[in-house]
Amino acid sequence: MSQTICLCAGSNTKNTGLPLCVKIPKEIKMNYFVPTFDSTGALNFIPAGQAIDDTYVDSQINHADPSKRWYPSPKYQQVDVEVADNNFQENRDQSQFFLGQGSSTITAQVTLYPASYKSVFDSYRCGDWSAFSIDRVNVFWGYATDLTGLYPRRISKQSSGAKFMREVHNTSVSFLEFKYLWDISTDDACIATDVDATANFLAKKGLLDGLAYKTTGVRGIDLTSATVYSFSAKDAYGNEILGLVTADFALTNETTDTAVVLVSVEGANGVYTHTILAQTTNDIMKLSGTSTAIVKGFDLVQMGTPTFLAL
Amino acid sequence: MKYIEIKISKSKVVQFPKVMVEGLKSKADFEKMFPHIDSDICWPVIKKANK
Repeated sequence: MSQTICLCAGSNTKNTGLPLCVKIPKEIKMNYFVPTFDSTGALNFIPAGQAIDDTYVDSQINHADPSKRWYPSPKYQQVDVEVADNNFQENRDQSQFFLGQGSSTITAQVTLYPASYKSVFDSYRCGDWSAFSIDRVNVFWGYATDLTGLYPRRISKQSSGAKFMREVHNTSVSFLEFKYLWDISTDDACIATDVDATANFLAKKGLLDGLAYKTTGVRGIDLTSATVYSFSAKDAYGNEILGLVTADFALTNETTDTAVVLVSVEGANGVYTHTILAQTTNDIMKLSGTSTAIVKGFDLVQMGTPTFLAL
Repeated sequence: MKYIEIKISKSKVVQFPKVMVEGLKSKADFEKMFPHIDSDICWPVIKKANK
């Protein structure tokens, strides 16, 4: 790892030399959203010395812990960056004092995404999020103020939001516009990269939520007997999820807080039948997924909503 | 968890957790527990694994 770092904010260097080859951030093509803190309260970052290759990036995108996972955005078709002027105090003698830098707002467009995808973008308004940026030539940009590692750049809380724009006949296609503001505490001078990063960042995709549906079409599972239940597995956009096996599912008896072994058999059209050992009647059962399902690209945690009662 | 993997069709595999099938003594036991799974294909494999 050969990381670049911030040269401002207290740096005492005034030397103005620059080598011939330096990486310059180009237009942002996608973001990897990252929770600023994990569930233990520790900052999420790439420690110095960690090779940023496909294996590492895939392991972060497929991380079993959602609080440490990276969430790649779609590729943006158009990005506008608006950087406000720095703020100065103007004095009566016409001198000026620097007060603070102007805010930096990113407005990104993705075309031909469903209106429901707006809620994905809107979800980044809730909580404390940061983001790595991938530019149009596949260079991975983070944020660094020292050599401890590469951090995702913090997004201003509550600043992000999306809007869906319908097509205009013969003029424009439908698109989603996502807007966020870099946190004012961050500084463009600290945009940093790892010049040894090798991953194909622009080719990565995020996970799909897997949901369980009854035959009636509502969320949930159909209980056949005390030991058998079935459900239709679909992603959040209504497409059948095929190819899941026993090891992809996890079932928990929430009442006794124990894992329940199951056998999963896939039928036609993404309908799965599970056989379990009989549980105590009315125990609360919660279906979920495992890390093997995540590696296949599916987060099945939403299958546990709603829970069901053992027969 | 250890699994016994059985291919039930060209593209589908069923993974039986060992702890769930090791107590099965007969094809009838298997069919009782897994009425929706083809016992002609799976039971001989489970039976062999349980020996």
